[in-house]
Amino acid sequence: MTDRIDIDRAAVPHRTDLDDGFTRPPEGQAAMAWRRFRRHRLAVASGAVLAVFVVACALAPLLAPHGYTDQDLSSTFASPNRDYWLGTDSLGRDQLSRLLYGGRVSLAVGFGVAVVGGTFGTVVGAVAGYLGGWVDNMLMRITDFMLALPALIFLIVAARMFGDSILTVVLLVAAVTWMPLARIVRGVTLSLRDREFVTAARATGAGTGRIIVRHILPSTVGPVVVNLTLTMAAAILLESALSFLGLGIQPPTPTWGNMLAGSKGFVQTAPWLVWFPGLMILVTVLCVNFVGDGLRDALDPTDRRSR
Amino acid sequence: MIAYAVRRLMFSVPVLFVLSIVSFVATRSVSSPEAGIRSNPRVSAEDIRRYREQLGLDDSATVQYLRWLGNLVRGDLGTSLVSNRDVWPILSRALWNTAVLGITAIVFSFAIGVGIGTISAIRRGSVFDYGTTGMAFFGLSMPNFWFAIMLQLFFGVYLVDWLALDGPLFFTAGARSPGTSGFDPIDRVRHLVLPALVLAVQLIAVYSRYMRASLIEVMGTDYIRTAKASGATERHVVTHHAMRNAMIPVTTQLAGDVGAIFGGLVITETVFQWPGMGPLFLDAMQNGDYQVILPWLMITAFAVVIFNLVADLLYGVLDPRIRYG
Repeated sequence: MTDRIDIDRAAVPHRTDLDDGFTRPPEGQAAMAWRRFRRHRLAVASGAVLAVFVVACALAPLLAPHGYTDQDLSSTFASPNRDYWLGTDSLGRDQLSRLLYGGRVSLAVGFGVAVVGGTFGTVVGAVAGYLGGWVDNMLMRITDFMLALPALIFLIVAARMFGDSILTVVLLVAAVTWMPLARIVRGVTLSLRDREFVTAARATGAGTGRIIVRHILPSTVGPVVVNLTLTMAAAILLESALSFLGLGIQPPTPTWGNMLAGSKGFVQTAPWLVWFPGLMILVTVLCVNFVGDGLRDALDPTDRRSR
Repeated sequence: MIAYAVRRLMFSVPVLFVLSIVSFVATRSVSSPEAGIRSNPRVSAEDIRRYREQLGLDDSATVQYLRWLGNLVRGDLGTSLVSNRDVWPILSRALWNTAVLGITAIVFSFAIGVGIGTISAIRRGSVFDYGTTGMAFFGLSMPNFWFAIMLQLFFGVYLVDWLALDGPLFFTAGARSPGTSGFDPIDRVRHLVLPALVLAVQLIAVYSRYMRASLIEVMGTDYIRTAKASGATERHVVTHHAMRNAMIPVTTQLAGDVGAIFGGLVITETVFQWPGMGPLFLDAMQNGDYQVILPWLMITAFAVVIFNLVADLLYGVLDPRIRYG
């Protein structure tokens, strides 16, 4: 209810408000988004879970009870117990420690792809939308082409060609996930480039780069942020799928995907080796998606129900 | 519309052409054709020379590419480097198996997804709506290879133990029981269920979300209000007026999905050892068998192009408001 009153006051200033010049300092976009995001309880809870995962994985050297390559050959395939909380694998390595270290790689790939793919997609979309003409045509045909390509097949072939370091995997996964973002940014840019404020900026002598960065991109922040969460979720799934096929980041560096790949032969004898890495991927991706859903509600400018 | 289809097909020729060059370069750079025979100590240098000559490996890359493309266009796919057999029968068997699995999953998912989407759109905000929305998030966040392994564990181990069965209810590997011949529908279905279920979880999630969004949009249109105002019951309006239009986007999505299955089931087929396109591709990659990889890539690309066209044309057939310029 208080929100409603604030809006009314802003629209129809009272005498008392006029005295101090402004009715009230306007609420910033970020503050408003945060207020709306907070109402989405599931998204907030998911964000908290993700924060715990990120911190735990970042602090893996401090938190992990064992080294991720330490082998205890006297207790291979130990089921979860007091020394090894989540059991050990075929070489007697502690699964909890490997999950923490593996999470660093999996999460880093997710963030890395969001940054690289996000930047690339945004640039392609903004340039295509703003310049139009043959540039737009060419960039969008490339986008369509990449969209039609089966992502996993591309990754399998490309990983064989370009190797499997973490950086390479980030770049390759980014190469198959930037397209939806390019389309979204292009759409927003197209709708803005002939508006008065852009024309005004051009009239004052602003160059193409400045107009795109200072005047157009700020309007794309909402949809871009929402889409980045989807990109990140897709990246984590793709990286783990690639690792699962034995083609991504190679052991002994653990990732959740290659841990699953290593344990799929022991489904019957050591089910905990299959349960936990998979659950980590599932919970992480699920949380990223829920956060994205919350951000969609918080950042959607067309949703005026509950400002 | 025919003119549109023809033009689209003509546009896809350069796309496939570019793809054939990219595929050729990529594939040849990851495979070393004579590695297999080189490792055999009884093979002499003379044999290797003869082998290279036979395959034309000493010609320039351009010549090799053009020769391969020429053969491909004439329908000659060559022979596998590993098994030395014609590639086409191998590919066509894999295509058939993948189609069986993929289309089964798509058809069931479509029916279930449309049903769930319709109910949750009508009862927006209900427990059913929230429940299925949550399930859809789960379906889309589930790593499919993990879900596949968990199904194998559940049906192959746990359920057999709990119910003290003689064997698993649904088989966890292969497309038919070893040693059987001929067509045994019950045996086939028992092999089909689990891999189809893995695919269905994701497909149902996608279709139900699409259907829900689409039906909500249609229910807000003027003609639905008119139908309601004319006294038709809610049920009649939904089933006879709204659903038909709301299903259009889902149907075109389905058409596109059919094209995507041929190169898209790699993980599921691998986990369940389903003898389809996925394992064929991974084996060929493993062996550097470019004679199989290249036609494989071209066929899957062709399927995507064709079914995307079908999807677009279907849109026009189902929705007369769409006009092709």
